[in-house]
Amino acid sequence: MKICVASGKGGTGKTTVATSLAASYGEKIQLADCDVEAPNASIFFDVSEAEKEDIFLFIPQIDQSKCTGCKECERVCRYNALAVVLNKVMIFPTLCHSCKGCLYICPEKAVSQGKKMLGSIYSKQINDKIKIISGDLKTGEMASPMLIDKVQKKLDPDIHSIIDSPPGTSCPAIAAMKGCDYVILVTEPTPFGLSDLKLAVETSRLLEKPCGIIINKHMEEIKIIHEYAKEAQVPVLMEIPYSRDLAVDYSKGNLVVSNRSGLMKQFKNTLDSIISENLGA
Amino acid sequence: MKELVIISGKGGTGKTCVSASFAKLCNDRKILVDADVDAANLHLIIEPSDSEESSFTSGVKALINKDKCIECGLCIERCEFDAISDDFVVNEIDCEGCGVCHEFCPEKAIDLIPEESGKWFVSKTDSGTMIHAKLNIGGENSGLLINHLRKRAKQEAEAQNASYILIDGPPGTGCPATSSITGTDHVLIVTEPTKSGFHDMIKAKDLCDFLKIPVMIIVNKFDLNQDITDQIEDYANKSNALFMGRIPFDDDFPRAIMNKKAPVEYSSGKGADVLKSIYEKVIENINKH
Repeated sequence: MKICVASGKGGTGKTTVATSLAASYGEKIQLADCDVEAPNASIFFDVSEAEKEDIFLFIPQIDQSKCTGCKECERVCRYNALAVVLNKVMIFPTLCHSCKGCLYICPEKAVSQGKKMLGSIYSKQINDKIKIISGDLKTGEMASPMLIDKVQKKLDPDIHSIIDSPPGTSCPAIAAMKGCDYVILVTEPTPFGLSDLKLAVETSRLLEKPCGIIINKHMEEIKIIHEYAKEAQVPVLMEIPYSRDLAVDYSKGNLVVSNRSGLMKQFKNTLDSIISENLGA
Repeated sequence: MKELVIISGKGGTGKTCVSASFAKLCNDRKILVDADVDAANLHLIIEPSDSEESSFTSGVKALINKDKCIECGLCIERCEFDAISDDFVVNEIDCEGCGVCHEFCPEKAIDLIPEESGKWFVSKTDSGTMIHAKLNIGGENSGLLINHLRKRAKQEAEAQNASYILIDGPPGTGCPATSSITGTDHVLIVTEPTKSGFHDMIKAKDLCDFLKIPVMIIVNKFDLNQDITDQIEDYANKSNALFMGRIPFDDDFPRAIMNKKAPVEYSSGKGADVLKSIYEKVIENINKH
């Protein structure tokens, strides 16, 4: 089963939740960091000597000796990634979406498969339970959804997976969420948290994914998330208390469940229930 | 006219808090932009009114005309995004709108339908004109929408003879972040003293270096981890960024947000004071270049 940890708003505690779930589960589990623009899950584990694989995407390569300057490639490209100037094709790799339209259209076969590096994927078996797979987008590259897809393809479907998603509700968040069986939405009890939680609930509904809420930085006296959850009929799975100690541990790159057996148990119970209630559903 | 873009790498470090505070502190004429188009929050603090709404249409989605389709399978074979099912239905979420299927369909059975990817607004606020947007859920082309907002903000700034354009940017370092800073002269990175915040701040700084944009850095909640704050300041100094200051952890900040106010208008505590002096420094630096 694949469980996506998402949020709408950034910085609500997705990585805290994803790493804590993985560390608390106690059985074989995969943790995939799909926040490839700002990947942080690896910070909480010893990932020295992780296996690194560079990921490449298609970009056109032009044989100028065959090119007649007919501009068919320029016409077919909807991303303005090619331009014909003085019978010479110029390529703008960061605009290319790797659709291969130019490769298929060129009547002279002057376009061939070139490649650009999109980013890297790091994998490491941390201990006998946890395996971490983390995507890291190369500086200046923009196609995060494609790297997210590649990270997900690395997951063994026979082992449960926790996906640490990017924030937002646009293509990167969708790419992380779409292959999952359940979505955990992490929020905080502020107007920002609530506003973005509503969008995140809409997103998981659009994708027809069951979802539940974890409230981070919870304060007993603030009920705005509970009120919304009740009205929207989304279950509140867990509350993580507002605590400076916890924030300090996080800041140092320590797993927040490491010295908190009660919290660890709560995470384990939460994950156990999600799996038992949704497996095969 | 000067443009300042506030980004962070990691989400939730306090971009909107800082942006809203700067908007309140700036007495000169300015245009505000919320470039976090898929999770916009600035409007929760700086309330818009009289919004002029426009639709943002960009890109297309493929649609297979079943009457013409002979199920030859060429579209499935050539779709790099696996967006066409075995029974010849286009999955709108996966479709990138590249048009390859439309181009090569031997029966001309595939149409490209323009897609509304969101709405954008020009609004009045008590801190000046605000340009903001709401990307549809799963909307494509957030980068183009952000370009559009920035272009519109420039026009508005020229028309109003405004001194500043203040942009509350998106998190991350991919397409939206890149679109929000490309071609600007001033970026302020708001980070937090956590390993994650530091790591993502470096990614954001690398992006600015790649685009040759000078960077200012501030640390929010600096006293959460003084060691990492020192490391960030050191990094800033060594990597040719301007370190503009440290904002202390201040309970008034979340309280201000709960009350839908910018920290500087809600509180007269230490955090708000520091934010004011950082604002002065940032504006002074912007006006030097």
